Amino acid sequence: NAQASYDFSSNDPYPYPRYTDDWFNSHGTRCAGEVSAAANNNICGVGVAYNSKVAGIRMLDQPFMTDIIEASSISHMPQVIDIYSASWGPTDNGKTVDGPRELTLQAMADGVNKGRGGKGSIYVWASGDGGSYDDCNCDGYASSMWTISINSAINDGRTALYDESCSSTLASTFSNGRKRNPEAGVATTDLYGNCTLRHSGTSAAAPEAAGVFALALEANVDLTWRDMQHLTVLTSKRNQLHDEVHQWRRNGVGLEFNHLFGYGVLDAGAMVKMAKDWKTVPERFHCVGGSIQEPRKIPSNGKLVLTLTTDACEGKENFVRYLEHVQAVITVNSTRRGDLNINMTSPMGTKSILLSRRPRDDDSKVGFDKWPFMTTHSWGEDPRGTWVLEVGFVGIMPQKGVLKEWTLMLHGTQSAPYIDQIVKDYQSKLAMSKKEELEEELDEAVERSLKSIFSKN
Amino acid sequence: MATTLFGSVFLLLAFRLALTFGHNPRTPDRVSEADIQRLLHGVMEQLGIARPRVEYPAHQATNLVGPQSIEGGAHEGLQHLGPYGNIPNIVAELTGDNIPKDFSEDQGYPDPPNPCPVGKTVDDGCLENTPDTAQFSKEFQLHQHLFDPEHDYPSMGKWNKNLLFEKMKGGPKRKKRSVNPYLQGQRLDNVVAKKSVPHFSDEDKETE
Repeated sequence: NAQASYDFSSNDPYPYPRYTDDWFNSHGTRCAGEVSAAANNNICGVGVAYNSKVAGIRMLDQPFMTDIIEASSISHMPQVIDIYSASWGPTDNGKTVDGPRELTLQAMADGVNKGRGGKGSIYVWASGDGGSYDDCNCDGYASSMWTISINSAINDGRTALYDESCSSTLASTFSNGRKRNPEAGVATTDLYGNCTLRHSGTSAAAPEAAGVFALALEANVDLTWRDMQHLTVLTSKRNQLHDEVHQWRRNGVGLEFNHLFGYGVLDAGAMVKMAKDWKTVPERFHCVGGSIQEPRKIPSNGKLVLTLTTDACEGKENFVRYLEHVQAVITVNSTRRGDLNINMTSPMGTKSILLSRRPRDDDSKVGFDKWPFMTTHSWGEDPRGTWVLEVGFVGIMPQKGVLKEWTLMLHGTQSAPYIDQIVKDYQSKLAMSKKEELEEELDEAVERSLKSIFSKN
Repeated sequence: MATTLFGSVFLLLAFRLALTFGHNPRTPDRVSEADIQRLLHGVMEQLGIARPRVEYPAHQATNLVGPQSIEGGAHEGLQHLGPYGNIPNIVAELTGDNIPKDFSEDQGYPDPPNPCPVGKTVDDGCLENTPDTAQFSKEFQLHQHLFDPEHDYPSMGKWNKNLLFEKMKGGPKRKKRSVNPYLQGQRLDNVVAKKSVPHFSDEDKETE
């Protein structure tokens, strides 16, 4: 879609890639082909959403980056562009903690609030390629609630070596094979009319997801940005995905998740089918679940364990009963930031790894300042009860640190999001979740009426 | 008006409760405030009159300062470059050394050629009839900065020089980089736009 394309790097409407001898700028062309390459094009493979149109934005190829370029790029024609696929972010060097700045942040919030006729722009983000030395919760773009961050799996179902893990990843898609069999890459369009069979990286994974979301929108144009996330959670599959370190676990409402793959690999067919009958999820509320502000020392050995008991704003207008995203806003300083390890466990017993060790991060000054660590792992859970935060050091040298703030932010719905959905497959996660919700609603109704009887007598 | 609305909603609410707990009738005054709030929202949602909740920038980190490092694009693993994969992966010209580079007008950061998309003409500021080749892009970019007439263009013979210059002169002149408004405002200093290929030592050990 030439009308919706723009070149912010040289300020003209034609985002043509700049030539370099190493074809370095082939990346956008390759990502675009994955999403939108036409069927039977006689050049290369077919795009995931071959009926879709793709607009190009050139925004990384200039001497320096500005907040304006980022903000303009992710808010470019938000009533025309439905899905923004981004394979960029803070440097994945394992020691950066950074995220969107003022204008970009505002642009993202505006995107989800007002984009696509108020249904919200869909932001698809690559989790990052920092490998096991980095944690994508230190990337404020990928860990934002407003982006769907996508990790990748290689051809045999394992994690790619460049995959970063974090609790904010929602799902995964296929990328390339490992080095010894690179022939298993992604086939897509390449510069100057060529075709490559070896596109790779989480940057190759994100556009595949963008394509799948385009198919879902093709099936149901009324999906909101949150519907897309719910559909992703419900239709992504565990399949043969396997990581040697992080096992698959079930959260408090029975949804299987993995620290690296999120809720699994996207299933385009299942998503499109479910999208067709999908009823927009209920209104979303934000609740400050509680906050601890007194400074607490983190021991060199063992862990600092804090608890917060919350009613999730029950009785108030912004009561959150069914969780979507949870944020732990944390201020912490330590003698070595990279050795910090933070876990949070929900009242229903789901443990999220909010921060893993980053051996290259030797910061001892900045720490984390009101940094929102986000987890998607408590999706669908009841947030009421006691949350546990564990902060400790994992490293060779003894370290010292002080936790200055932990604020629990709960985001989700008051009414059950799946209760009104149509179930077609009785083995599906939707069927299970709906059943769960019906049981919980019934329990609570009985409890309420019992209480009322007792108070009457 | 507000009371009328509340009254009718309240009736609805009582009706719903009565419906759900037919065997256990309750009078409205036994209903807790939380129940009211919850059902009120449920009703408003169903009627489509619920106040739209919005997302607030304050829910993300808003206190970030200092240099920002952004990277993207082609940095994951080794890239298969060119059609035959015979182009070695080399360190990109912008590397993560955090030294601000002087990219003034003629310093080797050219704009790429802009071939006209379907339906656009030279009047729209693009180039018509442009060959989609690496060679052309390379030549075009070289031309932007080498204004020295004595400079030797080794491969110019292959090209119709006049045609090329005509194209470049024809139509509205390209805007100079220096007026790109997107480069104004908060400059994220020391920023890396792209970086070299990271190396994963494990990848070599991999035996498959």
